[in-house]
Amino acid sequence: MSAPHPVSHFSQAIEAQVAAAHGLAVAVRNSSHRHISATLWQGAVVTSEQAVGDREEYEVVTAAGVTAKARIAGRDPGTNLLVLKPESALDAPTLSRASARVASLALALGATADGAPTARMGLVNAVGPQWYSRAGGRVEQRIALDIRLGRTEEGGPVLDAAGGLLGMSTLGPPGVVLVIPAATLDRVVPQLLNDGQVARGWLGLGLQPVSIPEPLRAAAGETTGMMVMSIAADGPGAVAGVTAGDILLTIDGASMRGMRRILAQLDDTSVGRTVALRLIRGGEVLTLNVLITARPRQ
Amino acid sequence: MNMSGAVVKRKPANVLRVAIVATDETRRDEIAAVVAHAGHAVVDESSADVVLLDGATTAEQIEAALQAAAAGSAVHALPELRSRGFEELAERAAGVLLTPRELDVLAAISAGLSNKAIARQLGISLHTVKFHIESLFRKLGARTRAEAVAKGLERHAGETVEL
Repeated sequence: MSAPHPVSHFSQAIEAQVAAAHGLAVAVRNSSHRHISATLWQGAVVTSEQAVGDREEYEVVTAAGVTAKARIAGRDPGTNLLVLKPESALDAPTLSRASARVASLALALGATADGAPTARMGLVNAVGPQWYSRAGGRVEQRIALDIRLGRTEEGGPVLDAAGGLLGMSTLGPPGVVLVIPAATLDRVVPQLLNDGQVARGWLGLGLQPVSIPEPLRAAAGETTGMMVMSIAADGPGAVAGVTAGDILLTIDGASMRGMRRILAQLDDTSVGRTVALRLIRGGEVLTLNVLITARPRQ
Repeated sequence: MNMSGAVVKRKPANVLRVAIVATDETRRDEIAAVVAHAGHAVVDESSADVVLLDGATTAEQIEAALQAAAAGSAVHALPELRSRGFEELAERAAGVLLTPRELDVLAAISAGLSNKAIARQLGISLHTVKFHIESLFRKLGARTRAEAVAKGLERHAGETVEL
């Protein structure tokens, strides 16, 4: 008997890794029969926040065909994580954590509406440092895959070639599949299970960058600012007297140009701190003190 | 600014074929209900007269946007209209930023106002309105009002942050 062909050997090794993770990927269904993939995580069901609405009840279907009713326990648009608590306990294999290396193989698992497994394979396309999402959340690492993913496959686990857990798949900018790293799940999921949300400083303002009109630039000391487009009723901004159309220039002296610095100023330790907002209103520069509160539950 | 965003793809009939771009299913269902209530049909993007982009919109804003689209005759195709995924926050805004006045004028254009009506609403001269529109077209790379509204919407979706 001849030795197995190297390619079939490789294929069998991949199959074995997916089999070892059997049960980790589940389907989350809503009452309109739409579904999305999800990852079992210490008895909870973790999936992509951006893909899930706010219905009362969902249904989790496992690879073994077990169905359990589940409710949303917490969600964080900042890290695109949503956690559901199933009514009955669901078993899942425990995987070791893997670290992402560029050009290493990655397996993206998902589930069909009936819970049957789906799989995709590709390379880790790029690995970057910690980053901030547009929703203001911190993600431990920027891991991009060269895998294409269907809408219903988002939210499933991503493994490396050794069968370790890299994290949860997420549809990023058009054409890009990202991984929310296991380290981010480890930090955020327990908070979502306990508090339903991730603590984060909040100004209660919707902002859009604008160019500061020429005549005001000297007084402003800035060429760009953030114009207030919306204000949360009774939010910190509203309480401090911020009005729509104000153009924010600095927060505690930090220019509004650098978003990473601004977001770092609004991390969980910022809650309860008073900051000075320098802004333009009606052609005048003024300063308002704002008490940062915790971002309310969605 | 009203960014409820109906973008006209081609000249619509009385009953609009409306596609809805929303990532989350609950929002999609809510918007679909408003569209159906207004007597229009919900279809796929490929066969739509109008594409509705989900912003933080109320039912009234969606109906107003549909009315504006039904009344409009602008012919405009939007090849790259897709729902956006989970994205990185840009450290700095890309491209040339609009001024607050230009944003006002853009909002007025998207509400379907004429230059004269915009001048009246903002209390500025017709000449100034034209000046702002020229600058808007240049910054957005737009040749028509519909294109300016569409590109303005894209920008708004990409640049707005909730802090």
